[in-house]
Amino acid sequence: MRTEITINGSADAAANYLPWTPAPCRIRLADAGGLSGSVDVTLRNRDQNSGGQVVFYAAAGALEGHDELRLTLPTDGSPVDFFAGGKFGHPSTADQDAAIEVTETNGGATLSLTRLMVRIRKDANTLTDAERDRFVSALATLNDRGMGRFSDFRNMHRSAALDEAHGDAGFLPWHRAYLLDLERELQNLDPAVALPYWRFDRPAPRIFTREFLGASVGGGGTVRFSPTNPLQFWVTDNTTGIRRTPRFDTATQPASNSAGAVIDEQTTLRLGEGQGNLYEAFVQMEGQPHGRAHVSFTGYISNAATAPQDPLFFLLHANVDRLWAKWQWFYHRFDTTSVATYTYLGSAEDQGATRIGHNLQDTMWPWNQDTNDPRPATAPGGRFAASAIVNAPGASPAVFDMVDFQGTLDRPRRLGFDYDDVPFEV
Amino acid sequence: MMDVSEYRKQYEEQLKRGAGGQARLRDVLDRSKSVPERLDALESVRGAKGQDVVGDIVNLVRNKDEDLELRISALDGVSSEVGEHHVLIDVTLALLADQSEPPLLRRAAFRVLQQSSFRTILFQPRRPEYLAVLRGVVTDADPQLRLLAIETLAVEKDGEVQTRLIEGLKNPSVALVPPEKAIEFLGYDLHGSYYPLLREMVETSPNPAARREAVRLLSADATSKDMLARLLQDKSEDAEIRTISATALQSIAPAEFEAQAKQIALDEEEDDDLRAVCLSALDYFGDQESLNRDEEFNRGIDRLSSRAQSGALESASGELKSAGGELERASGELERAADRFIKRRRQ
Repeated sequence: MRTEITINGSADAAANYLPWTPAPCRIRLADAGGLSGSVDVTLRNRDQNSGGQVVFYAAAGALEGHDELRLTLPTDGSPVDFFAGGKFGHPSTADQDAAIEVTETNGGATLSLTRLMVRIRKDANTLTDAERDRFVSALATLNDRGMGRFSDFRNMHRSAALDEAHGDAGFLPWHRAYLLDLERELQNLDPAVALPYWRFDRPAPRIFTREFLGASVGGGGTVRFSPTNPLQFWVTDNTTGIRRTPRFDTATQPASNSAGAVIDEQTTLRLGEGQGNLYEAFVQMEGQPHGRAHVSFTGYISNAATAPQDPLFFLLHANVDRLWAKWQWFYHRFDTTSVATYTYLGSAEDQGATRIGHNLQDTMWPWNQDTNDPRPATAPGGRFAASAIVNAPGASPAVFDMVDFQGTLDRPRRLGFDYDDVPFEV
Repeated sequence: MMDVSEYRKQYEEQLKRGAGGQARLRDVLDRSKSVPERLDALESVRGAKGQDVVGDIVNLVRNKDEDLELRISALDGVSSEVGEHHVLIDVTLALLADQSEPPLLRRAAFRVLQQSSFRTILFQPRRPEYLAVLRGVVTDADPQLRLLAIETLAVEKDGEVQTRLIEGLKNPSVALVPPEKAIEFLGYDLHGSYYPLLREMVETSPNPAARREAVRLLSADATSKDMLARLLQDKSEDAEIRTISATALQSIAPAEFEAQAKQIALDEEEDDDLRAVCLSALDYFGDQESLNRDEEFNRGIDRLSSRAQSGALESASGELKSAGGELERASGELERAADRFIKRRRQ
């Protein structure tokens, strides 16, 4: 007797990656061993003490995941649907280090073993050396000494395009899309990579090192790398190297400069306190802590037009995005009909709308490939990258598509990523 | 399993603990209170939005008779509002421009303006004034402010600053910043016309940091190929300059680089770090077909990799404890590069 499981609607192993958010799965008896009627099976994690862990949901709307799931499978091979997601607090640390074991409920014979990864965005300061090296390796390959696909990402964030993404409500969704597009490109090179984040309100002794994002040595403006770190071959705008000098002790202090430190996570989540915790107040985080984190250094990262020349940009913004995700989770801000979730609910043509690209129904440049004024004159990078595990947000996402990233209210809208400290909760 | 509802409960507690009480603006402004008391009260008005509150904080920041730390903290407390209140931009620009103000406060003002500049739509109308103030700071008495202003203007591709940086490289007596900084800042808007001067810096400058930065910028200049190849080959040259030359040469002359890099990677007389750099460059960006065909080279890499394994064994047994330095080299970056080179090809 043998069972077969498909994850994320695909039998391809490339789809065997789960965030916390439950994904649609199917199981069927591929070989009923000559039995008729039905067979009871139990699904559980193969190894409950190491590797990524999975929880099971019997239905899409189930409130809680469970360590085990019992199902009855028809012997004619018809599939049975269930849902699986990563178990909060138990992400993978290596590719395919999780496995769903299916056993016969009566008798205990193993019917199949499906390997997968609970792929989660983590605090970069806590990555294992292997996780760090995979990320660095994928990023350096994407850059390919300034000749690779990364140059599109660099070109999306130049002076002429900054108004698409800054100074208004669209700041958070635009950058969420930007990071996800990059992450999917990295995953095309190495599916085990998830974008890590830099918690700028905490010391980060393991990030600003020669082995990871480079160390600032002796006040020199260009960071140094270990001889085996491929980021030493980083080229942007025809210049080799990454210019970055911290204005604080990265090993012992949170990001800070002569004006003071970044506000911490709790203060950031309270930005709308006493005013209904509306998005309008929360998005002020663009100044503090986001802007403050950028200008806690000199070099590329300290100027909006040059910041993506430094890989740190993507870790800094992953933390900004994590803060938004955590605020959304904590205050239940996924309902796209509410101004508490997002300030401008209509499109740029509506009365009371804000600048195009910052209204909920507007499509986002450059993925919409719109180069008509007032959009920028060029749209680098083409359409939004597809994913092997989800269909959203499609090739030309709107601001709307970035909001319910876990598909909390509309499951097909899930974007296929999660953060290590932001759970999925219905 | 970490229970999600329990996690939520714990997080609620965390947020509650840090929740602010009533805004205590009166205490902030009360000069009969001590500075620590007023700083503590300032925390309660952080991110203040009302016009009145912002006005009072602005007056405090402006007041030269107030404590410096209090003024800086007050500016920090309303920094998120700069961009939304024109008066705040006015005050912050004036502080940055005013040479009679303490440098610490002016640096804080610069950082607040720089932070605000990320909110482009809001900041854009004031950008010309911001850049004009920075041009005034280019010759400021405070060296840190000078550097910050020059770097920002260089990023903005300010022609006047670029000209002055070039002049400083040609004539150090008029230099605004050290040569390595000048070269670094010119890199924000690299012009082909800079290359002859950069090559001259590499050939003649006694300053290793300036030479390093110059080599870095030459990585886009095909006419510097011969010089870069020479620097890479020269064992008497500064190790870091050779390393930067390696990455630069790989960009502009990959075939030439590959031939040199293979030699260096297997040369026992060479610097181990440079060998590891060359091997990593080949591993990631070399012509994989030609590398795979080169049996002699691959045998050499196998030998290096075995050295790593024996190093690890020695380390495990602890027998070479007294020869710590030797052991470190035996299981160092070069061997790691060799090991990875082989593993990636087996995948």
